[in-house]
Amino acid sequence: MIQLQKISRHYPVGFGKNYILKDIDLTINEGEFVSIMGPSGSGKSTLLHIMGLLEEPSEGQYLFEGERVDKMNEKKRTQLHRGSIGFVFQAYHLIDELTVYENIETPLLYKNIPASERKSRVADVLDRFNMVAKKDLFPNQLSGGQQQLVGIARAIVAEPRVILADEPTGNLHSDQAKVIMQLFKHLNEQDKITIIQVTHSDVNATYGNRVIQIRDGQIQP
Amino acid sequence: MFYRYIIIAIRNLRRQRLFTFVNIAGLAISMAVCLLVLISTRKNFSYDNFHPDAAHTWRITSKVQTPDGRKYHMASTPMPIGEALKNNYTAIRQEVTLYGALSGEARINKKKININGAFTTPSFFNVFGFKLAAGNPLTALTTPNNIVLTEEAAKRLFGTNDPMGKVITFDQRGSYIVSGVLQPAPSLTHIDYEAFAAMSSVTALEQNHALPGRLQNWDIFQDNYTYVQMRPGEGRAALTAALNDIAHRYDDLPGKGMPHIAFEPQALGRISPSQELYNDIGNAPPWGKMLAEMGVALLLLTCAGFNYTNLSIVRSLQRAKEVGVRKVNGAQRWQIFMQFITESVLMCILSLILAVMLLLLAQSTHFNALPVPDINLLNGHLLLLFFVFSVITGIVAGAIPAWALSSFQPVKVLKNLIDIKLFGGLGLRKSLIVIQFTLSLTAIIFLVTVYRQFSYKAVKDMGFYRKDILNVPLADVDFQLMKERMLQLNGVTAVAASSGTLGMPRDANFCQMRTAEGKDYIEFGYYAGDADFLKVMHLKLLAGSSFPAAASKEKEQYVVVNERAVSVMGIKTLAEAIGKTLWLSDSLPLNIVGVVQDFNYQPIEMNIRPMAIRYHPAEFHQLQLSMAKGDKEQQIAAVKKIWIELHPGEIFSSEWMDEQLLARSGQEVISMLGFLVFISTMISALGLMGVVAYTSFTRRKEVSIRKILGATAPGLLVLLSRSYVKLIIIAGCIALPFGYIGSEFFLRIFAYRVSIGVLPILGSFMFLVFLALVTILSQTWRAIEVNPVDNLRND
Repeated sequence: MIQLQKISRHYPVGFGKNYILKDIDLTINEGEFVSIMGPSGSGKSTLLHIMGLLEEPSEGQYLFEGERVDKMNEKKRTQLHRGSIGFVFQAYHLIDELTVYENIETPLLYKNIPASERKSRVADVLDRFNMVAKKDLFPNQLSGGQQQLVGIARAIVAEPRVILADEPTGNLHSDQAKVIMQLFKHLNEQDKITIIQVTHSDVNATYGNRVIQIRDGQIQP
Repeated sequence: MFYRYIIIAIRNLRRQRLFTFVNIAGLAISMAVCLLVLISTRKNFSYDNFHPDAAHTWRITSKVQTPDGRKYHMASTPMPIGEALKNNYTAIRQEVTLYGALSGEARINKKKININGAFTTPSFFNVFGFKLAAGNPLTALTTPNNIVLTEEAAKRLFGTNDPMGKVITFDQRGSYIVSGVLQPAPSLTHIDYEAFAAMSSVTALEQNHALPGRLQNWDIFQDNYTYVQMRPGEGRAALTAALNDIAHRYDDLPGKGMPHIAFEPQALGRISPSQELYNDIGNAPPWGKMLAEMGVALLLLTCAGFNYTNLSIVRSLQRAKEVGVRKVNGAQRWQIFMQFITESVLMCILSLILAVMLLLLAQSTHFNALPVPDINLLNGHLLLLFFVFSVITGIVAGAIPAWALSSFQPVKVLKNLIDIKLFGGLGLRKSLIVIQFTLSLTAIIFLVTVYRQFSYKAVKDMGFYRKDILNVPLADVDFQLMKERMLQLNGVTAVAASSGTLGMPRDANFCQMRTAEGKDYIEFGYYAGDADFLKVMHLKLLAGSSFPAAASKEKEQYVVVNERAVSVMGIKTLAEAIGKTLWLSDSLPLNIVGVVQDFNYQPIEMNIRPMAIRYHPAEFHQLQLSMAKGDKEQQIAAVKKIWIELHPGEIFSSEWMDEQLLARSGQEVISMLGFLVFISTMISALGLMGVVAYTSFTRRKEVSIRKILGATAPGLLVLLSRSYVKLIIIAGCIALPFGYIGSEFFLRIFAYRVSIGVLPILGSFMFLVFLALVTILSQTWRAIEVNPVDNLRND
C-alpha cells in the first residue's frame, strides 16, 4: 500500500546538506500495524509526515496504492487526505472552539457529505467510543485520554484506509495509553485499517505486528 | 458548512472580547458616517429619473470664451435657439424653453408670497415627466397668461381652496389664471420652479417693456434654458452637428474682439449631481462636495478596516493551529479562506447593526454633529443597500488576513508556533499604524486651526453692534410709519431702517460710482439705511454727520462712505470728503454727508473695500430695533402685535441679529469636523491598543523570563513600548508638515485670520503622543503585571 523508494529529506546548511532522512526504502502492506521507533531527532516524525503527505521528500519516490504522490500538487494531495489518510497527534490538536461533535464532524464537512449521512456517521462513532454523553462538551472540558479518543474518532470518521499516529500516547498516563492502544489494535483487526504509529514506548510497540527502528535518518536492519 | 463557519465565528468573537470590541466599535462608528454619505449619495443620484424619454433628452449648454482666455460654461442659452433647432433640423423632435423670469411676489387679494417661476412652452409636458393633478396638459400652457403651479405653491397661495381658474398677480409681470396644478414630482428634479407660465405671455410683456427683449435675441446667454428631445435613433452626434451648425452665426465675433461661442449638449441624466456650470438651476449638490464627503467617509472606514487587518494578522498566531488541524482534516485553501472571509463579513454586519442603531439614536436625539436626515432608515431598499455595503466592506477588510491565514502549512504550525512568519512581517503592521496616526494627527492639527479661526471670527469685533437688535421685515409698509409705532413700545430704545444686516454674506449690495465724468468707476459695497442706522449699528462717524432728518424719501441725495472709499477716491483728509459729489450711474449726484470708520460690513473672509450707506428708502427691507435689556419673549410678542396690526393676514417673522450672524459663522462645521476627528483618533487609538495588547501577549514568555532574571517594571515597560512610541513619532514627523500646509490653505480663505503658531501644532502632537502613551502603557502594564510562573508553566 505504501512504498517508499530511496526517500531522502534534507535542508541546506552552509554549502552542504543536513540529512534528516537518507535513502529510506520501506514497503507497508495493507492491514499492517507498524510501529516506528527511534531516539529523538532520528527522523521518525519527518518520515510520518512524508507518508502523510504533509511534507515533501527532497529525493526519491513515494507510491501510495501504486500511484506516485511525491510530485502531486496541493489540491490532489488534499483529495487524498480526505479519502484515505487519518491523522492522530500527540497533542490531540482538537479545535478549541468546536464541541466534540463538531470536531468529529469536521472531516466530513470538507468531504461534502450530506447532512443526514454526516449525522449518522458521527453518531455511530460517538456510540462506538462511548462518548455520546460528552458530545456537546468543548475539548478543554475533557481529560487528556478523552481528548485523544476524540482525536482518533475524528481520524476514523471519514473511513480512511490508513491512520498515521504521531506518538498518540505521549501525553497520557499508562492506563489511558492502554485504552488507546487497544482501540488501535481493534481498528486494525476488525476494520482492517492500516496503522502506522511513531512511539518511544516498547510496550506500545508490542501492539503492532512490525517494528521499524530508525537511527540518524536511516532504517536499522 | 456555512452554518458552521458562522457558529465558529460567533464563538471566536465571544472569546476574543478585546478584538471584537475594537473592531466592532471602530467599524460601527465609521460605518455610521459612511451610511450617512450613502444616503446623501443615493439622494444625489435620484434626480430626474421620471422623464419619459430621458435617453433622448438633452439640455443645450453654452461655452463662452472671452478674448483674454477666460472660459465660461453656462447651463443657459440664447432664447431663439430652441425654435431654430426644432424648425431647421429634422433629427430634433421637440424642444422646451424655460425662461426663469417670473420670480417675485405673487399677490392674491391681500396675500403676498414669493414665488420662483418660469415661462415655458406647452411641450414641457411631453418632454418632462411632470403630471398634472388638475388641468389638461395639452392646453394648460398654450393660452397666454395661463399658469401651472406646483402642488406646494398652490397650497401656499390658496390654502385648501381649489386654485383652478383663480388669478395670481405678479408685480410688473401681470396677472395669470391658474390652468393646472402639478402632481408632486416622483423624484427630486433640477427643474425646481414653483410655477410655470405659458411662454406665449412673454411676447406681450416684451412689447410693454415689462421684460427685456429676449425672444429674438441671440446675444444674451444668461436667462434661458433649452431642452431638446431627439427623434428615435438620433443621438448626441446629430445634436452636436446641429449645434455646431447654429454656432456658425457667431463665427465673426472673435475677429471683433468678442468672445468665441459654442454650444454643447448635456444629457438630462448628467445634470445632477451638478457639474457646476454657470447659471445652473436646481439645488443638486456639486460633484466636488459629494466626492469630498465620500472621501472623508472612506478614509474613516479605511482606518477601521486597517484595525481589522492589523489585529487579525497579529491574532493569526492564535488561529494558526486551527488552520493546521483543518487542513490536515482535508480542508482546501479556499475553504479556509472562505471561513475567515465569513468571519469578517459577520463582523461587519454586526457593526452595521450597531451603526444603524447609532443613526437611529442620533436621529431621535437630534445630535448635532451627526446630521441624520429625517427619513425612515428602516426601509427595505436602504437596508439592502447598507447590507450590500457592509458585505463588501467585510470582504475587502478580511481579504488580506484570510489570505495570510489560509496559507499556513499544517506541518509548520502544528510543530512549532513560534516559527510562523506572519504575513508581511512587522513592516506591514507598522506602516498601517503610522498611516492611521498620520491621518489622525493631520486632522487634529487642521481642526485646531479651523476651531481657532472660527472662534476668532465669532468674537472678532467687526466694528458694528449686534447685541439685542431685533430684525423685523418691513414688507411694504412705510418705514417711517412702522418706525414711529415701534418706538412707542417700552423696550425699544432706537429703530433704524436698512436694506440688510451688516456682516451677512449676501446682504451687501454693489454699485458703481465715480467722482466726476472721465474718472474711473469705483465699485462700492452699499447698504441702504436711514438717519438712525449709524446710531443703532454703533458706527463711528469720523467726519460730517448722518443723513439730515428732512431728507427726501423719493429723490436720493445723500450718502455716507467709509474711510477706505475716501482714500480710493483720492481725497487726502476725511473732512475734505464732506460735501463732495459721487455720481451714481452718471445721472444721479449723491452728496457725501459723512465718513465712518472702516468696519467689516462683509464677513471677515473679505477685505474691507469702499463702502457706502445710501439714504434710499425704496431699498429698505427691514427695521432694526435696538431693544433694552429685558424679557426677550415679551419684547418679541409686543413687536409682533404691532406688526400684525400693520400687516393683517400676513405671517410675522423676526430674528435677533447676533443669532443670525452666529448661525452663519460655521458652528455646525466645527462640531461636525470635531466629531470626525474624534472618531478617527479613537479608531486609531483602539487599533494601537489592540496591536499592543496582542504583541505583548505573544511576548509574555520573554517578559516572564526577563522578570525572573531580575528585570524591573520600568525597564520592561520601556522594552515593550519603545517600538510603538517610535511609530507615533514617525507619524508626527509626517503629519506635522501636512497639517501645517492644510491649515495654511484653510486660513488663506480669510482676509482676517489667526496665525497658525507653533504652540497649537505642538500641542496637538503632544496630545496625540499622550493618548498613544496611555494606550500603550495600559496594555504593556497588564502584560508585565502577570506572575511569571503562570506564563512559564503553560509551555
